[in-house]
Amino acid sequence: MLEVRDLEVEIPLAAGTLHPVRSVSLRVERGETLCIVGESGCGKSLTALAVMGLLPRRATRTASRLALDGIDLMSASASALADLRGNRMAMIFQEPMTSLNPCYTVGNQMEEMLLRHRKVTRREARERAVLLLEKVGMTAAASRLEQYPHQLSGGLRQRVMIAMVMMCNPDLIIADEPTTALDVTIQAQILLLLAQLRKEFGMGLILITHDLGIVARIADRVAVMYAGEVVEEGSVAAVFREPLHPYTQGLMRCIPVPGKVARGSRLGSIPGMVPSLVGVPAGCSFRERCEFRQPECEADIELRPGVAGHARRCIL
Amino acid sequence: MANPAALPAVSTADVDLATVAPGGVSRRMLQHKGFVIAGAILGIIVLMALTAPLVAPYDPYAQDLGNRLVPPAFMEGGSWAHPLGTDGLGRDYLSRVIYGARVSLMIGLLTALISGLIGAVLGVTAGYFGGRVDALICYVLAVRLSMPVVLVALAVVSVIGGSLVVVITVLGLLLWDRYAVVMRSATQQVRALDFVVAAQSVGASTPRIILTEVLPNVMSSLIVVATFEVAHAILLEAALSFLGLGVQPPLPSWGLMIAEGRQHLLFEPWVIVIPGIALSVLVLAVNMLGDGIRDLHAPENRN
Amino acid sequence: MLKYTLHKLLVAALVAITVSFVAFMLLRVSGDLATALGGESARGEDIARLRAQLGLDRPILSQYWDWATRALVGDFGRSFYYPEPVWTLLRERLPVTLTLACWGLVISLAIGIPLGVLAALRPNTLIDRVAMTLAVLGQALPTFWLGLLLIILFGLVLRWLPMSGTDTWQHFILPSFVLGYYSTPAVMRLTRSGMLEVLATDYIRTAYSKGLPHRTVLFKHALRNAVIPVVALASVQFGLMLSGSVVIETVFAMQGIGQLAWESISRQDFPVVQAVLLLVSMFYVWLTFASDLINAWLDPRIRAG
Repeated sequence: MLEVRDLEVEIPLAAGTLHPVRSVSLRVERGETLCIVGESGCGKSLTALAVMGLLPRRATRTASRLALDGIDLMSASASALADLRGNRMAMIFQEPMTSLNPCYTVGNQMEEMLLRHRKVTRREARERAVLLLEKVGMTAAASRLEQYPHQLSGGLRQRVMIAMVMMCNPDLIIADEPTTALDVTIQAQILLLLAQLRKEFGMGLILITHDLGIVARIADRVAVMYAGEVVEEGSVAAVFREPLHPYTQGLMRCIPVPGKVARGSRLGSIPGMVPSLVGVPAGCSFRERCEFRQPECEADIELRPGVAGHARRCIL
Repeated sequence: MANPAALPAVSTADVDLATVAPGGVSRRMLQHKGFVIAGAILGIIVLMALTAPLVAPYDPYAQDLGNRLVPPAFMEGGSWAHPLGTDGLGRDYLSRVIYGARVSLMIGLLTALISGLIGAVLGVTAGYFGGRVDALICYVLAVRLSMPVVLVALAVVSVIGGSLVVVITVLGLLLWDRYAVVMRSATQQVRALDFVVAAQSVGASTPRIILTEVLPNVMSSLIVVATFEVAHAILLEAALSFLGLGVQPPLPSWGLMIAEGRQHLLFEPWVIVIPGIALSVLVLAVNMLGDGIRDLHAPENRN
Repeated sequence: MLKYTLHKLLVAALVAITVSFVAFMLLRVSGDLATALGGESARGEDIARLRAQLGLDRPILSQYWDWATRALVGDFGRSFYYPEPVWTLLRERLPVTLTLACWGLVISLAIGIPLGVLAALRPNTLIDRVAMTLAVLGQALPTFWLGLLLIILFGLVLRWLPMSGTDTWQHFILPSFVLGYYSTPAVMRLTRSGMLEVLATDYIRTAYSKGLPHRTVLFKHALRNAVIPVVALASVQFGLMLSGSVVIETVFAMQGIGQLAWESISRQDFPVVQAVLLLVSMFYVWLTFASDLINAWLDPRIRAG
């Protein structure tokens, strides 16, 4: 349903051109949850913004294919894109505390979503808002509509955001680290909620996170990103059972699993630092930190498909 | 407490928290065009004011009733004997403009000094101690903000009598509000920072903390506000003198000169135009300087 | 909201009382009124008689009490110069000043806000630089000088507009413009910075992600937030215009409160001076109060306290 091929994002800086996203390719089908995992700065948020067309003004995006249900997003006009946003594809952001307008009620902002894309009356929009607020588990939904964002806690605001993006029943929802800014106890609830909604409404869900635990819990497929590229991709089961890319292997080693890791042994870590993304990239971006480095790694490496859609960007 | 909402061009957001390394600042200072131009203009004006007796061709008080209202050299009927012409009493205008710079600069600087001192003390005290002290000072601020400066200054001057000293004193005692608002906000921000808390936990005395930790960090905000208030004071004095209740004749205040030229509005417009240009250039330069200082120390606070 | 309103009301009332006291004391503290009125040639006994006549020898607080209680019902006493009671004088001239100030505010907002929004939408481009340059220039020109220049230009040279007086609405064009001109830069800069800040927030990004058109995001979401500080500024500027009209009314020979104040100050007509001081100060106090209320209405976060 969502097809992304060779997505690139460039941002011109005084020191040179920054390439935070280089050659990302993804697919998401309806009813499927894809997790994009990576450390801070690997370009996952910008990938999401690029798909939605919400990049900052100075950034440019290029892709050989970027389509939602066959609709070409690259060549679509600004107003056509605006018609799609919120309607067929919607996004949940990381910071619930600042993502809602403090001057308008929750109800106003939710109804606005539906009124923009459908010819409904205010009352119908209101009813749907109440319905969705109940679906996301908010008590006293009708009175919540009259409240202002600052009167709600972070967890409640995020529920409001989730309800809001569901107003038009989109085919694709992108959630950019929706639980990172929340308390641990709330995190689990929100994730469970997302999983339930996805099951009930059947939309495609892209969940961006840096937490492998979240991936394991709710994703069907996972794409591991490093330095602006997808370095491994496949079903969660396959990737977790047998990570093929050294970076993924390193990530897995960082998680202490009781039983697998002996007491007293060292916790895993990946030595080195993320390379600079300024300037034209060449070769494998992970080679500076890879224990399996070889001369062939200096050249650009393609994403090599393997068994059952499990692909990796490595020569191994 | 009543929130002093009087925040025109300089807002409480104009706070610089970074102490800038000396070497870096001077280099950036020279690269900032506005700062350099403003500095150059101000330098010329200050120099002109300081060396007035040497630079001015005539005595600004010397009347020459036979040569009244001579146009400036670049208009017809003028001559280079009086490059900027003469006024209604035959006094050379160029000399009066040059000496007028002294009046404006003195008023601007001295007023800023007095009101800056009052405002900074009140603001820092309110910002540092908070609580009841802050409430009290905010109350005083609210009362002050509710009084129209021009009217109060006019009223007081009418009772005491107008003169340079009176104007400086009255304006100095009135124009401290912006300093207080900005200093209070700046101090509040600095007080919450870790190094102040650290100093307190070590047991440093309060005056010491204020002097060594707080003041250096709020100093740049103070300077920015001060430059704008200098401009403010200059314009206010010009208005007061224009209304006849500021500096008294025959002193060459630019505002007074404009008032004196009013009767000649129709046929001898230069009498009004020239001092106005002088005022505008001076105030413009001061404002640009203030903008430059703010850009250099806290560019993210550009209004 | 009610609690907030009551609190602000209490504060305003307290400030108002203090201000009235200060307004009253101001003249008496700056010098001996009787001496000032008597003039240079007055003798000691004349001054003493004058003092008794004006009630200046009574205790200060009782003088204040008399004056304040009478002022509350509108009795400001009689002018030394005019035959009418002071209140009549004020009432006659207030409309001119209020009209000027209102139009001045309207002009400064009508020019300042759109310019500020435009500059924020295209930061660091030509239009931004032009707007900022106008702002900088606008704050450097003395208002009375600008007024005189415009009189020369539009009244004498072009003969499009009248030069002084208050007979027709055209008489108000130049003075209102000059009055509003001085505030425009502040409004513009505040709008610009406010908009820049707001446009960079997360909730604006959310608004775009909902597929809302530019127009809606700009006017419904962004401007509403950005304009909040401008409201506070506007009330301050209105107050400044009330007092700044002293100069404007003098330049344009308009019979408003400002000119009355100036004439009375020059003539040492103290009852009038005190009354005008009090009137304008009260305007300031209640303007601040009103702006606090509007602020709370615009920004729900303030209501919560």
